[in-house]
Amino acid sequence: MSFLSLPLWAVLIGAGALAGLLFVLQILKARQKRVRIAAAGLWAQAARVAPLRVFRQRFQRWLAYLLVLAIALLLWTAGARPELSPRRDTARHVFYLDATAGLTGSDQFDRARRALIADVRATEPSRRTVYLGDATGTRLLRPGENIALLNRRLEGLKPEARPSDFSRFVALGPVDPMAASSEGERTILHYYGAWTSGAAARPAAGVEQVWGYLAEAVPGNRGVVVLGARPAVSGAADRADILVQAVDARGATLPPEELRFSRDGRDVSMTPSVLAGGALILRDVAADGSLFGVRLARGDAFPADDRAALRLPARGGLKVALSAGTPAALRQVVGLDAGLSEVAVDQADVVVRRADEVFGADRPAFVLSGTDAPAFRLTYAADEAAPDLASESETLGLADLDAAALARRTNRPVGVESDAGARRGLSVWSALFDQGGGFTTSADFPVFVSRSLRWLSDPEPWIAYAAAGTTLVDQSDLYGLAADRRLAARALNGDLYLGGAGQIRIGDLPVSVSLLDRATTLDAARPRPADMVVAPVRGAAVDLLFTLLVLLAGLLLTLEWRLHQRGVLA
Amino acid sequence: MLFRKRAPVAASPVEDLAKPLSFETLFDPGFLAGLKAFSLRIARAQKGGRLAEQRTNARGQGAEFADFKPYVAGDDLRAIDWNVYRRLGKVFVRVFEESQDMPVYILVDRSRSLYVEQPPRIHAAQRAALALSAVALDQHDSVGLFPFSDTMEIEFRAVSGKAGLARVAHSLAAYEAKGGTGLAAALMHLAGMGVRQGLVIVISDFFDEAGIEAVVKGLERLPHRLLLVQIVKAHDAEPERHPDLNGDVLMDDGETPAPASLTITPELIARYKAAYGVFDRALVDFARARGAGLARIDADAPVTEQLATLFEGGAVRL
Repeated sequence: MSFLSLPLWAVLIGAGALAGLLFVLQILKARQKRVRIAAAGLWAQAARVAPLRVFRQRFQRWLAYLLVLAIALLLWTAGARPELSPRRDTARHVFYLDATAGLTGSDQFDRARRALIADVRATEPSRRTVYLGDATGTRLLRPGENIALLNRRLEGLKPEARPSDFSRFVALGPVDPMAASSEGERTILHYYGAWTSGAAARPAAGVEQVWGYLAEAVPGNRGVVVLGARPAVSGAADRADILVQAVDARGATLPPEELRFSRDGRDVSMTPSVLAGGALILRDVAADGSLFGVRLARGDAFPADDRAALRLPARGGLKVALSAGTPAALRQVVGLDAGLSEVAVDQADVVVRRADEVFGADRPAFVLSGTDAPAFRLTYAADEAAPDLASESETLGLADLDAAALARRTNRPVGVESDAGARRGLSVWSALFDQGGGFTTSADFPVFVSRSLRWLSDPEPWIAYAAAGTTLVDQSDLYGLAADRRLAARALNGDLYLGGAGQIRIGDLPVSVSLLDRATTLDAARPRPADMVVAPVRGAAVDLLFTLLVLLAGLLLTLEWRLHQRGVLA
Repeated sequence: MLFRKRAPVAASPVEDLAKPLSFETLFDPGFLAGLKAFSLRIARAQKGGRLAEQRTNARGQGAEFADFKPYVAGDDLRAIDWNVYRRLGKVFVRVFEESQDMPVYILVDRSRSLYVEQPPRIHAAQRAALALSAVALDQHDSVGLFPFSDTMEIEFRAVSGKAGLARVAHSLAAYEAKGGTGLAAALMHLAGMGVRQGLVIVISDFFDEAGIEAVVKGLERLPHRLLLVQIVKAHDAEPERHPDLNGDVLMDDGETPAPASLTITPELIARYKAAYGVFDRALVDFARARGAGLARIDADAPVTEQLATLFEGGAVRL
């Protein structure tokens, strides 16, 4: 037997101290109650005949003492959290509680947890290690640690709605038999989670896999598997097109009438178009920073994929101030673009001016320069990450520019440069805007102007989608998320990992993460193969010894009370 | 300070003691109506009282024929027995036994021990005193009330007539707790007063600190007929029936300055029972030897029913 709270010697010393303390208290401490009785004189006379209140005779109540001592020792021992040592085992046991979407069904996680605790309890402490299937594979119990710690560490844990990482966990090696401490030692991997995740893992040779608990399948499961937003193809800068797809247990796309849409929690009626692949698209949805939600009209027993939500980017109109020297073609584009509005310089988000003009110097500027300057110079704010010119050229629409023709016409090399400044800026040859150059008449020109002005306004990143268990990647060809300084500053190796579904914040940017995993949705519906048999639970899920000790103490306390009530016990 | 000397435990303060029954509660017409059928009789009252219902040695007016005596001048001519005269030729007159009143002296214990329990024994004592007073006054006897605690007081020596009952009730209702049980001293006091012989009723728990022997000695000195009314509780004889008599207790009768600190053990209970047995036997033996009445009134039960048992047959003859 071992104890969690104290070492054995401390438990024994404490028990001895308790016995001594109770002995002394029993002798010294008399809690006298006042009894008012007319015959007190006769009682005193009887006591005078044989005085009973003498030191040694006071300790005549052995029954009371033993009862109190037994109760105190039981509670003391229970408080020390004893643990019976299970039988010796030569194998190394690795337990993995896959707290991901597979266990989000009704009471699945609780059942898995109970099975885990029971199995761990029945395993020799020095031979067991318990991992939690969270984003980092947290080790819940080291070899030799008491089972009570596991109980405590599992308190309040809930499964996250995200795909399982079990395969990755197995591949990374905590269960590698080579990691075993001695040669020839077996490794047994106990798995508690969705059977599909368990079956997908390929443990190394020599690792025996045991199914401790496998979540039950939800045969008719349906779920939302796609939810994303992109800038509206209509060209409206303050609009987004939203792609939605929900599938049934066989993978067939659900029709629009099976879905409900909401904006900031309020249901809205929307009519999506059906794309060729069956997915639905909602066009020209206002990109106002609201939370767009989609859910199944009828839920099921696997709720993790029954709804999804996406925080839409906030895209309002851009205010532009044009200097007197602004080329007519550029002025025309600003006038025609519904997302751009011309305002006075003191109200502008960005300004357009010639290099020799003094106009809106404290604002990001689109500068028309002479040919002695580089053809394109991008100025970044000092706190931004180092620019990726290729990516930025793509972003600004320069990729489609016929640089060779331009170089020939200007008889100067055409290049893209960058430097750091107080704020963003873009310097472009004014020759590009000459009517004879041809650039102003090309289809790329308005795109270039529009994108350039928006880039200068340094908008919030456009998060096209946020799927749980994946990294936040650059899905937009407009605004490179990886280059966004607000996200890049928080990225690890360029990646921002999204954990479980829910509302999170990346810096001051709210992000709504949803499960959106087709495999998880389909796997939840797949029945478990007959050859995957769950091993019988080996121990008790509750701390039986602790419970028994407390119960016994309670019973003795009741007995003492009854004896006291009946006058048998002082 | 880690250790502080424990302050001595004092006896119950007065405010912790029970209150006596009020006049309104005590002077209950229903209670008094139930006493109509009862009477108190003693073998012979001392002559010298008023004409009443008790038999005396006095000769005079009455209904009960007692004897003949030779006629002398001044005798009532209506008392001449003419049949005797015809047979013997001498004039004899009939004399009758004169019924007079009986003085009833009621000693009521109002020591603090009668006030410490719940319900307090004083309530039963008040009711018993009023009931016996009512019976005595109803049969034209006189009632004297002598409350006692440490010492005996003379509330009044004799009231008579049914109207006197209200006075008795008023007096009883004013009996606040007072001192210890000085029954033996009270009896000595009464014996020394030289009052006309009659009936002495002692209403008390008889727990005198001087001991039951002193009480018995005091009773023996009284030249009166005696009725002892002992106010008891069930746990007097059977302490196991008291719910709090276990463990370490401070036993307080309200009279001793410091309550007795005791640990209740089976051995102590046995010793108490032995002591109570001696106490009880002394009272019973005295009553039997002296021909005195001994009535036990349970303070936890209605008094009227218990008095009915005492007056079995309608009268108590002493």
